[in-house]
Amino acid sequence: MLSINDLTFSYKSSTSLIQNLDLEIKSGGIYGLLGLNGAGKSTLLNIISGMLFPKQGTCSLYGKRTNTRDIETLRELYILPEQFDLPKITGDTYTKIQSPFYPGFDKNVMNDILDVFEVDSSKKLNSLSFGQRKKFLIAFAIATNSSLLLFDEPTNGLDIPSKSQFRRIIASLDLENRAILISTHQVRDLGSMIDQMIVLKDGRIVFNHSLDEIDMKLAFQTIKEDSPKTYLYGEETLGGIKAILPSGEVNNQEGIDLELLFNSIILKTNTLNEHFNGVSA
Amino acid sequence: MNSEIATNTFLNRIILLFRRNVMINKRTILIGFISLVCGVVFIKGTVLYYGEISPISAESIVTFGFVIFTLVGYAFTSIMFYEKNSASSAPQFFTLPASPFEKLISAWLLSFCAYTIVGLLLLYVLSLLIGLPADWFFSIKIFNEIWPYVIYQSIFFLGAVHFRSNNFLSTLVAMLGVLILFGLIALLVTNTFTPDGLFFKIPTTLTATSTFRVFITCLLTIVTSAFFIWASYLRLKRMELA
Repeated sequence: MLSINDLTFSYKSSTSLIQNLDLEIKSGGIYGLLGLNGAGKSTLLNIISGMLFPKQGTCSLYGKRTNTRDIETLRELYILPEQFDLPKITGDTYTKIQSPFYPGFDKNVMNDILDVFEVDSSKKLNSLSFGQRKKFLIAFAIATNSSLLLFDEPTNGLDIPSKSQFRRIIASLDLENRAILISTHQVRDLGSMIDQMIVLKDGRIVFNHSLDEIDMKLAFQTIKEDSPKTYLYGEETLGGIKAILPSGEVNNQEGIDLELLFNSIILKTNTLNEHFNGVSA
Repeated sequence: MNSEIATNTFLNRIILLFRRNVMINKRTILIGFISLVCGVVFIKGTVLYYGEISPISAESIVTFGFVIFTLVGYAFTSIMFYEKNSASSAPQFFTLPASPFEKLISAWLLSFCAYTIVGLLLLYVLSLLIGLPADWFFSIKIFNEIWPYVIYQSIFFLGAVHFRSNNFLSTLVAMLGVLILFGLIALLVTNTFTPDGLFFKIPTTLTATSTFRVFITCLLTIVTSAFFIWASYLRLKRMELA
């Protein structure tokens, strides 16, 4: 679906923010794009959506370069930016003027999601809170039926129940011909929503594995400080050490701790990658 | 699936974009329209208060109205692409599934065609209300002034696309800068090569028929205006997020 090859990008008069990046996004999955602040996640989403042009390399959706902003390509992707301004019109008017540009737009889906989120689309968008407006745009994005949804920090500004609702809505989507790329630095908010974890660090993808693969190769367990077990990465807590161990060394797995894994990738990139590539850690 | 108008054709997308432009600028359009109507009513009220006014005064009022019409037109044109000026509103504009050409044409239809029709209609109503003959407005006098407006409007259109903030003032300053630059170059060339003045005299006996003059003026206006609109298109096509 989406193919990024040897992509390099820099803003004017600065060093490369993204360097020689390769990425494949296939339909049917939810991808979590993680990284520290300033890692280039939003920039990458802006390049994918055709709003920024690569300095080198290509970014193509269904074989068409996204920077051409071809109508067919634009119909197949929808970006929900982290910060956004909406016109001073009602939600219903917004839907009326924007939705016809998306031939697959499903108003029933939009209304259903708005009901779940309890957003009143008859109100003026500028009178809604930031979180309400974000929920409105999430509903619109999903209703477009675009093949690729790009969500930049979608849970920022959402209250706790709304975050849960968001996760439930995303989990309930039929993604047979669609993919969702969620960029965030709030790893916890992703929960068990994602199928693939991509970590961006210093302009490069340093980790790109499916959760199934992670589950197969890693084990997450809280061990005692004096435990003889060797672990790949650990963080001291009150009850001992929250550790990531090579799978097979332990029986009692606690499920994937995305936050712990993310921290380990950022701090011990090579250790994790060597383990995944089959080299002894 | 629900879609009010199919967007498969160029024309349909232009209509949708035009409607979208009207809706998102509705507030500005309404304020502008009400202000202009109030202006017309105020002038009519003043004329009624003072009784009959001379035809020269009436013509002056309409000419002044025309100046207002052009200035408001430039300002209105300058806000046409305001969405692209900020990183938070630009995604709505750039990723909307329509080509840059369609986005450009729909904005031009609103800022030039629709605005000019409404503006001139209001001026015509004003001319009738203050007692000018019905055919006065359609005399060549008022329409002689429309040609510079067409050209300047297209320059402000380019400014609306090109600049990222304060589009009206930025265009105005850029135009002044270019005029001063060209003026200085012309002065330098004239003084260098013809210290005694222009090296040729403009023949005063050279005349052109009225129809020919109108034709040439019209042609030059269309070519110049089309050039700036084309330049706007190229700029918009290559424009990235702010």
